[in-house]
Amino acid sequence: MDDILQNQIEDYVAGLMPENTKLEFERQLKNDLYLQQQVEDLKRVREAVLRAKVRANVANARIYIHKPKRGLTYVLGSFSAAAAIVLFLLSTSITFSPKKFNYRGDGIALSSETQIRANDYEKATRLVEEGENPTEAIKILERLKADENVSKNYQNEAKWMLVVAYLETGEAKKAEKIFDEVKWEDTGRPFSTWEITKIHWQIFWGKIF
Amino acid sequence: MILGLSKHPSDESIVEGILAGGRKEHEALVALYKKFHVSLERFIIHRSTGRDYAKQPEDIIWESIEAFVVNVKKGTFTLKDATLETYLKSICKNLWFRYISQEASREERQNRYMAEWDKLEDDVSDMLIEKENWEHYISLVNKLGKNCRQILDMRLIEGLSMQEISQKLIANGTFENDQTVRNAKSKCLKKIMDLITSNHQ
Repeated sequence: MDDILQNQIEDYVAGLMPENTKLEFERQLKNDLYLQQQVEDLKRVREAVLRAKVRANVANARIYIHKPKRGLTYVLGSFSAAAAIVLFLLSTSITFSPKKFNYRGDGIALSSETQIRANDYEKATRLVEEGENPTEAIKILERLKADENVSKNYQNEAKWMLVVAYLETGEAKKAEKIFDEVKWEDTGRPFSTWEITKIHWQIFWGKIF
Repeated sequence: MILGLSKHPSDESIVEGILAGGRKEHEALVALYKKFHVSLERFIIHRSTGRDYAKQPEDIIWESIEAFVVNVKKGTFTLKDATLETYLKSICKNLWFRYISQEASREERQNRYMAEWDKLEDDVSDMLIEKENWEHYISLVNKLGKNCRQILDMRLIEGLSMQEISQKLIANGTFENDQTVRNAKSKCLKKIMDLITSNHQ
């Protein structure tokens, strides 16, 4: 079969043949058994291709309908949930591990002034940890911070506790001022990195509200 | 939702989408399922026996959609014949009874299903028998390579000329020149013709 006839059969079966050519082709078809067979076979091929394509399209639609949706709503929802959890954790109270006042109980006799400072330090620690009376803690800690007789280590400890105490009383600007002083000191930090992040966060929001 | 169709697409817009092909057809199929699957599932479950079958109502619904789409594409369904819901229910009922009657014992068939079976619409029933006959041909088409299926689809279903097909397939890098596309089409047609005619004889 030549290419022209083959193309004509394909055009006829695909419904592409112009009306006048189609009438002529159908006249030819009536008298040609071989041509009739070719047309019938190609019609069968066409329908099989059509049905296979429909099956594939329907299968794709089914997969699309039943696949778990991970659209914009899902992404935004997950992000919001994660952000809410992080914000909640950042807003929880700050936990720290202050140095134990180790001057007592090791056989060294303490002067009465040192004894008073030790008692004050421990009282302030307890007040800040429990968050019950931060104003009282601030008074004690401000005194310890300014006392030249207190060692540098314990002065800095007092500053760190002051940051937390000021946050507890809602005085974020004062907390920030002391935090900026003490964060560069090399005497060690009584907070983990996460707790430091929480301090940053609470100072930030405390200044806004 | 990806649909260009509205949330409550009309029967007409679904049929138009199916006839448009491509992305619009996909959207129409999704819309069709979403619009009718609840009522079709209830319809099938209402006609169930309580036995646990390998095929679920969901499978029957998708088979019905496939049969419906073939009829739309072939032009044997028009909205003048029936609403989409009525037509789909008719296909679902036929498919479901054919399936459960194959699965049921002879006694069950006598007692329960044959009364309903008699009421099945002849035209839909014939269409489903025809559908079963095409299963083998579909499997033969699926044996062809992807390029073959694409060329035959473009030529016989989309109705593109060989020149248009060549332009598309050369542009997307599937083939190098016009002659290789023509050769590929001839080979594909010969292969599928041989497979189908040998089976038909």
